[in-house]
Amino acid sequence: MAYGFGGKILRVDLTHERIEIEKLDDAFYRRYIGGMGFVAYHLLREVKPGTDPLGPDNRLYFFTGVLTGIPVPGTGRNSIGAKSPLTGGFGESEVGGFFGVELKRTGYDGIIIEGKASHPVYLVVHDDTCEIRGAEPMWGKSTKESREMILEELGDDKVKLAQIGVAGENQVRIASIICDLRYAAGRGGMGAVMGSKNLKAVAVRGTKKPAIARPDKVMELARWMADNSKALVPSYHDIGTGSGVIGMSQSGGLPTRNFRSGSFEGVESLSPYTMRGNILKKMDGCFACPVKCKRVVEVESPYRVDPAYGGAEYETIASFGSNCGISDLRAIAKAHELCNAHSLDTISTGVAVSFAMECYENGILTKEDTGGLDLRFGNAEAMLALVDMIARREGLGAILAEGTARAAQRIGKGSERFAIHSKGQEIPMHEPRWKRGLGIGYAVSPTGGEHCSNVHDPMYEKDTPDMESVRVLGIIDTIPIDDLGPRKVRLFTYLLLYRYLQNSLVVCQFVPWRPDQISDLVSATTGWNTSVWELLKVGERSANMARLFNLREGFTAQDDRLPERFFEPEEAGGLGGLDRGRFEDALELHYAMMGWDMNGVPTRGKLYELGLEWALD
Amino acid sequence: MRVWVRTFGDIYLPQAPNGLDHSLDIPPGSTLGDLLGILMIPPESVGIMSVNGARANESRLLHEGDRVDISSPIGGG
Ligand code: SF4
Repeated sequence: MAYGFGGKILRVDLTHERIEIEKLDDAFYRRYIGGMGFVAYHLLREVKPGTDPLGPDNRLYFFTGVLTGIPVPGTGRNSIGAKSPLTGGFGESEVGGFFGVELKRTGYDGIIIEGKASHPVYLVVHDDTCEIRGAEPMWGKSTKESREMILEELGDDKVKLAQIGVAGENQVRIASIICDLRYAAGRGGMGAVMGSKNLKAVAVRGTKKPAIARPDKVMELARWMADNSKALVPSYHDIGTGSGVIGMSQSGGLPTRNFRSGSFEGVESLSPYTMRGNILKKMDGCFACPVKCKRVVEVESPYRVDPAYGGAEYETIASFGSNCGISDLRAIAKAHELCNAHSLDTISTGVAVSFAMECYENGILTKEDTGGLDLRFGNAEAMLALVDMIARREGLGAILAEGTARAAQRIGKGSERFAIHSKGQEIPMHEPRWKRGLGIGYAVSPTGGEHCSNVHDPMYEKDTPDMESVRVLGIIDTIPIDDLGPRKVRLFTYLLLYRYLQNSLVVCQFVPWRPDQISDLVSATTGWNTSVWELLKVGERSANMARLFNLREGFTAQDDRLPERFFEPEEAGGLGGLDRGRFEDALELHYAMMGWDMNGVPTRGKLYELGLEWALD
Repeated sequence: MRVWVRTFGDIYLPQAPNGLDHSLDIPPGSTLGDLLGILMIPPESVGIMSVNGARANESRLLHEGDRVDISSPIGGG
């Protein structure tokens, strides 16, 4: 009997309305473990080079991992992947909440969607049964409205949903997939892929709890985390991920006005204390998690913000706040609600708006282009109007809906220098002129600008719990924030492998498990006698498969770039720019540490070492 | 003299009712480093500190009514 996984996945061909069950063996799970690993494997195996990301030949993957749904904190997540319509390369995004757990409980470890339905549909997986149902009445509706309609039609309010709003339907390239209104698979335009398949929602309902090899050991670890999480990460528990804004601004690390500056004069209005004293209704969390870092906010005026959509994370607070020069948390809460209702990525959308604002302030866009909006930094009304226009592809919104990089190409007139992206994906809300190692991560990430599989340098400057965690990987000494030498590259490289393991297991990074505890959890759940070594190799396999997919799509080392802005100093006496020579050295060193050649191509030796020789040609 | 303290990130004030912010009396002439000692916050758990919104280090002299912000090292989010 298999422990930790069901051993089968569903393949749904929407063109021919055909549903098949595929079996995967134990060795496959042990090699690729789930989530990102499964996405990368399947993309390489079955999505041909040059496939149109918004055409029927692209796939949309929903995968869990071997830890998904076991009763310990951080295991409620799942991964959603496809060839990205935003970057044209490897696309994958993880999402928290409960959807992954419910999917796992159906007995299927994942769903592969292919083809394109002739009309709007939604998919229902209820334990062993799977059905494609018409979604015409839900098309054009917000995620909340369509969710209510689906739950009513199915007559079951325990169903969990992954769905799109109008942005996904309109194939906006920065569209997200929203799970149960509050949780977002934000990045890479996965919502656009779902829309391109005429798939409004995936509904899952399962009653089979995953089998666990050694339940006593799993419960012991769960108890340890329940007892220690509050002491290890009190801020996430009490204020959520927004707790850093004040310190970031004081350090020059808070993206402000399209990354021109790193300090925001209005930061006090964005602080967690302001949020708690005004709009915060309660803290909330994902499956089995005592950390509860999610917020639920409610606003009555000047905008009505529906608490059903949860509340903004740090990324959203900064992308629609400081990065758009906006210091009104109520407007940010509204932007967050709009993004979840329409299925838009809050990071990419915020950066698309800040890009347009900088173009406007520099005369590249005028009121004629903006449909009369006075798109200055700080204008919250204009920001909110533009978010809605992007989702609906109206006016300037239709141009920004293509993502910032394509929008800059279209607008021209030198606007390219204001487009803050890597490989076409907008850079998230962390400043590489402050966190220097993070810039390497932005440049090499297979999904483009990405902060989760990355190094956040301040955590490793002192003896923090995070430092203790990487000591398990062999990083012994603390490293200064502004170091960009070999020690930092080694830290980044090891962390990357660990993050890709976490993305493949699909466990949450905010739950402070150490790598050795993750290894214990995998052993106790699956019965495999595994180790941190074996598991890091799983992460490394994911990294290399994602890299190979991008190389096959025509990406080269030239695409491992950072926006020019980060080589220039911040405005108004802020932090200095990155040194180009040191940055290029660091990139080259990272390639070498990964076992890649000077052009960033995995060597034969590396692929053989990882058992990926099947990918050699 | 009375100062106001707020913490951000993973710093907890066991003395404060909500664990995160409160005001307290400290001896006149205290520095920011002295305040950390009084609050029993180990220096290695501190990332950034500020007094009245401006970055400051442990040797900074405190005055009546000062607002002190103490952040732990800041990670992702
Ligand atoms: S730490 Fe936060 S995001 Fe992670 S599982 Fe817990 S509640 Fe969800």
